[in-house]
Amino acid sequence: MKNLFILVIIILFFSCKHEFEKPYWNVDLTSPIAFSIIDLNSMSNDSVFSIDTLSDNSLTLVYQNDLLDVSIDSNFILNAISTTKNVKLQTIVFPDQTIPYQINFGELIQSSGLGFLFPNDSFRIVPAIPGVINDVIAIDANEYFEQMTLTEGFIDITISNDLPSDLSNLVINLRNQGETTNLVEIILPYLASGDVFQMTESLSNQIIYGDMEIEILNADLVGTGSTPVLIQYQDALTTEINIRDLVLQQGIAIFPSQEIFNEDTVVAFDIGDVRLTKVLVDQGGVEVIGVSTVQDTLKIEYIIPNAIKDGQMFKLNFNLPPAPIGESITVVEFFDFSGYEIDLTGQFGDTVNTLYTVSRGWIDSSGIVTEISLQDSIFNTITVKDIIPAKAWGYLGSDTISGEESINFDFFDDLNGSFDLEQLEVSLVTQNFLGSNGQVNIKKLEAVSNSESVLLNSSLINSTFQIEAATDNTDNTITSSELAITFDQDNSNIDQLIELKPNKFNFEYEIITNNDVNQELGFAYQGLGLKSELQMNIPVFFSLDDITFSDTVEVDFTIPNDIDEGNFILIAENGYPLNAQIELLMLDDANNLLQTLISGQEILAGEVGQNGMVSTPKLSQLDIPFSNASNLNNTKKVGFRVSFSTSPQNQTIKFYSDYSIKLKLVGNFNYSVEQ
Amino acid sequence: MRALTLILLLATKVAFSQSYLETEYQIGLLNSSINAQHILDGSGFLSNDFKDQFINDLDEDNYFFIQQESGSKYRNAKGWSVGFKNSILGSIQFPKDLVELGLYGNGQLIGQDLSLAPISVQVVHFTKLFYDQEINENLSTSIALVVGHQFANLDVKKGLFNTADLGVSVNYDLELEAQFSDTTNLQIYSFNGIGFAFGAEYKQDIENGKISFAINDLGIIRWNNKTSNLSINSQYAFEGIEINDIENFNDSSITNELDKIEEDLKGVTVKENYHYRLPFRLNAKLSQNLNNKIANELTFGVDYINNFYPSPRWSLQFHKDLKKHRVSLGYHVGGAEHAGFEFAYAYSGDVNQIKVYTKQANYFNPESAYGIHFGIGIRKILKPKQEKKNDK
Repeated sequence: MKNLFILVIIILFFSCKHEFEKPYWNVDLTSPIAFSIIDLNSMSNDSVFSIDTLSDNSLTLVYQNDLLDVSIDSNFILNAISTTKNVKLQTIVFPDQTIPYQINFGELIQSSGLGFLFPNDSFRIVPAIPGVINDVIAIDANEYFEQMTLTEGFIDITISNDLPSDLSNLVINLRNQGETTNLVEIILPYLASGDVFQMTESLSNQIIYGDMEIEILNADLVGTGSTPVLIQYQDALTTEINIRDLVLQQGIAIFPSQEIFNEDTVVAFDIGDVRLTKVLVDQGGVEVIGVSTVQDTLKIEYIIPNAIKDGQMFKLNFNLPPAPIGESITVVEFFDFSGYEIDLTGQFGDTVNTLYTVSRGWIDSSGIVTEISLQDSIFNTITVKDIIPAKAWGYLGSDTISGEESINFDFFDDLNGSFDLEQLEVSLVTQNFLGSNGQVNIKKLEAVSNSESVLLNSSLINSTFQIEAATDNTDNTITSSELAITFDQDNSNIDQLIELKPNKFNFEYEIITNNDVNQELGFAYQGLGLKSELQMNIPVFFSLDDITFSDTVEVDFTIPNDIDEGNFILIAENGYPLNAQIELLMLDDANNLLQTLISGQEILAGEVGQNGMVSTPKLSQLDIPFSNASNLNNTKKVGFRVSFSTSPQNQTIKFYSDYSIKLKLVGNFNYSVEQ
Repeated sequence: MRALTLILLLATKVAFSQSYLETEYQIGLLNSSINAQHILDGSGFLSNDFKDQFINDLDEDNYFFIQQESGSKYRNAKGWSVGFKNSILGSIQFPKDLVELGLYGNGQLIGQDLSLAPISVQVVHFTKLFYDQEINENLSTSIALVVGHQFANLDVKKGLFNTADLGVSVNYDLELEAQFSDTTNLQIYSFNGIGFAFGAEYKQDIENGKISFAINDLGIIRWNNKTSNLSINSQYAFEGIEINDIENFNDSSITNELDKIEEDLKGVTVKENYHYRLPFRLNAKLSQNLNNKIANELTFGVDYINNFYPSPRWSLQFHKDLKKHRVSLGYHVGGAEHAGFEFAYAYSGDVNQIKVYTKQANYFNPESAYGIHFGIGIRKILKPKQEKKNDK
């Protein structure tokens, strides 16, 4: 039994052995691939072309291209101007110094030993006392100087006798301490009580030191005879030494605070026939170069009273530090001028292009004794650098700008066939941003298409048009003025130029700025002058007869290997009154034809009702078979050629803003499923 | 006294039951619609004729059932038993429309609304450690500790698919839920959940026969907090890639669209514990003795595995005993499989007993063979010491 069972199993196993292949099969796949809704409004992203909608909802094609952009900024660059100051020490005046000395009656009586006989505020007879004063008194002027070698100078000595008695036989010498030679010698035979003696001595070529001394060799007290007088100890003999009008050759002294220069300057900018009353500075500044050998601080102040920013006038303060001993010091600084508004009418507001400045230089004494020499000098140059205005006001000068421009026009490049325009307007629109009137003259407009050309004929050619000045608003903006010179089928042959399907326009012009020489209240903003552009308005209202548009688009897609064959269906729901014959070509990198996808198939136009508008979009189905998927993979470009014809034929049709064509591409593929 | 007698009788009955060791194994792949002839013909390229015939043979809803179970048990003469059982159960339900879409592609189903639901896939793998106890000669109960290894549920409640006329759009509306246990640990006996199960069996002798009723695997598994719960509710209508600028169109636009769909289909996934109701089993049998030469006994039975059988499985078997051998031939309908024959052979020796069986005995005719199944059980009777001495 057991053996039988085993035998049955073996037989079953071998009998059931079967050649088995993995199953595989084909499936039909259908899927939408892409869709697009095309309307003329979606073309308005182009910077050159746009679509506008008119009041009746019909469309107009608008083309605009810049022609000119001229500015007259270069007329207003204010050239650099400099002022230089060179000051030597010999022009510096040292301040007068007054050194007082006093000896009072109390001191005299006490020194004579008779003080007890002559109490203060008593009445006594003052006896004669010979040689009552015999002293050397030190005078310390180091506070002012240590030593000065003078080229010029004077010393005034004033002796006032306020003692109760006359004095006689006064002998007074003034000299530098430690020297035997006297600067001044005074021999005064008699000086009555209450009298003042004055004398002046020249100090030319003298050297004086801060340490001086007055030697009173002799002074006799004459006495009051028998007349008692009020004894007041504070009554004194006063000596006042005044050193003045010093001109130093050199010295060691406290450099005095004093002005070196102080002057107003008026400079005029040379800017041709431009007469500016005001500018707002965009770029520019003041450069100061200072060189000094003075061993004290030099300060320079430079003011432009008519340059205002944020309510403050332009003022620069520039310091030259003390020079090292035996050397000079140089400092250069730049002060930015941008943002300042400068009145160029001068100090009294009666000129133009003029800058009024005030400059001042002084030595600000440090109070420190330093070496001073006649060789010391101060040199400074103040330069107002090239000023580039952001804005300028005044008479702007007159400019004639003429030339010839060519504009490339590629709209018709891929278009074959003919069209007839019902309406057309081409305008040259000029915007004036200058605060002065101008004139515009179009000398020539020509359309060129390969070897053909058409010249514009119009009474507007070679006519001079006036363009008004722009308006300067209070918020620092400009409202430009505009001039449009329009050519249409009534005043020119402009339609012939466009129907030529040109690839270029040649344009010759002349613009005169500021033709009114009396316009003193003009203005100009930096970068803004006159701009012109060409505008073309073509109402989309035409008839087309087999007008062909062709282009090549680069593509990049990969078809899976499992897809054997199939077809595409292009479903078009056409809301335009346009029939379109389509040809689609698959090209490789070298533009070799791989396969023709579509040829001779047509997308039908939407049905046009009695009101001339499309009432019902038309559905068309274009079959695009392909049997070689590798061709698709090798396709790098798709060339398409579309021929449009309006429907109904030979009838001018308007296009409305709500027209569109919906395209959908559906793929049907035979796909091989393998395990 | 009477009660005591009854108890003694019961005790005697229990005392005189045999102890044995038993091992059983079964494996099967069954389905309701695809037979062996389909598989034989589906070799190599599938022609349209084959596809047509194949689709025609499918039901509106079709089922696959996968079963592998193995286990061992020790049964004591006193009426209790312990053992373990490892179960792998799986079922797949799918509609005819899905197969039609896969074989033909949507290109031939344009304009048709295809219902790709309900689709359900269930797989569970668990091991049961059980203890059975005979209450009396009629009733026994069992209790089991259940260790969950892996499970996965997918239930597509809504799956509408449509390709519009001319292929201008492809649309789907999908609603599904899925749960699955932790996939980071790919060991086959990984510990991902724990639960319990109860069972009970009642059998009784009747006139000229027996009846029995059983319920098993009534319980739950609590899967751990790494169990994923995914729900997707997505509607999509693909009308093609919108082109605003023809000059910049390339297949990256397609890739971007596919990425959008993929993102949409990611759904919402939450990781948390999941309570899974075990697929309880119901079984009922009625046996009748037959006094004829062809068959000794007739058994009429019904089985049901919850969530895996779309309907109860009814069977009728005829048994023929030849000494210690029994051969059984039956026929079944319902369940997760196509109707067909079933066969079993059993040898009941004094010590060793063996049973082999198959739920699909239609191998002689490929057109009626809707799956394969094989089961084997071996039982070794354990004699008490006294009996062994007597034998010697």
